[in-house]
Amino acid sequence: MSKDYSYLSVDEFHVDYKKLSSTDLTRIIKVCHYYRSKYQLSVGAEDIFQEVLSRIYAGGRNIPREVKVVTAVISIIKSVAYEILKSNANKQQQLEEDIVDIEESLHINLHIDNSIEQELMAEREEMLADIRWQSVLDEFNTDYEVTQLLCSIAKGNKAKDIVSKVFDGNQTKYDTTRKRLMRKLAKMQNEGAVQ
Amino acid sequence: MSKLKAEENLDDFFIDQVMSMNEQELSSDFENTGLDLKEEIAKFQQAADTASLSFRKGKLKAARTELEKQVNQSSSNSKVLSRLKETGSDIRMKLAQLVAGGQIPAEITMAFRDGEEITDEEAEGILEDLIELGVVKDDEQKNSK
Repeated sequence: MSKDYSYLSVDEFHVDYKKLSSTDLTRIIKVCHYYRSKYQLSVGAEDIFQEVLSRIYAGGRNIPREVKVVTAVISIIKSVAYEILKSNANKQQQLEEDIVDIEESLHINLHIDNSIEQELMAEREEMLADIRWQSVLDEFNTDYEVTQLLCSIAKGNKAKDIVSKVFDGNQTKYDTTRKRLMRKLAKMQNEGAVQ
Repeated sequence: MSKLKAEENLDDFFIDQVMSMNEQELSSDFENTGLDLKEEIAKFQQAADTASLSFRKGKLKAARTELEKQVNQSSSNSKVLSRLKETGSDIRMKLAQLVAGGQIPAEITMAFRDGEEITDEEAEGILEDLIELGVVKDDEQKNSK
């Protein structure tokens, strides 16, 4: 049976958004910085947020009634940040740079049709994800516990499983390691930001 | 394992952590970024104001239009009432005729049943309501049709 989704009207969203606590706004700010840093975007964290709200107010993104506004906004931040990364301008520019690099190194002229272009994009995305992931691991190469935690997170394990599998059921050890990871990620958000 | 999937799992972990932090933990965590939280809040609020500007302008325009409509309606009602007075019409008599003619809604008929006891202002108020309901029409409006 299909689920009937019901969405907030723009008016209702506006009222609910105005009621957001400063704590929720801080959460939103943190998530915008996280994605800006992750994707090395050349726009400000607040620009991502502005784009998200612009789309909601224009009716381009809907907020399900059963989801908290802060949760829904964060989910939209995630997808909008990725869209910014993948924007045509960015893709085109990056692809052109790649082609020039390849042409120069091989002394040939490349003709690229759409299917090859898409394949290159997918490969490039996976390659960039690999680089980003490696840079996170590199930050913790001297911290064995955080590295173990990261590897477990990467596999999709949830807190309960991580505590038992990685920390032998030691919740305190998990908590201190988790906090170290979060502190470093917070620091990386500012260090890694493109100015 | 795809690194894209690994990243996605880290994103989910990060968001879960952020959602479960209290105000103090968030504030402390924010200090680690080296950014000023107050400045960031101000920037984000400005971004929100910019994003909602056309929506808010639309709401304001709709409210103004509604207000103007009400003002025009009220002004139009007053003009009809003034013209009735200028022609020397007795408002109580006019109301009595409308009641007798069965042209008045039940709730207003009830209010006018003891017409002797209502003040001139109340009689004018009832007539204004009737003008607004379209029961009493302006002679000029009638002539123009």
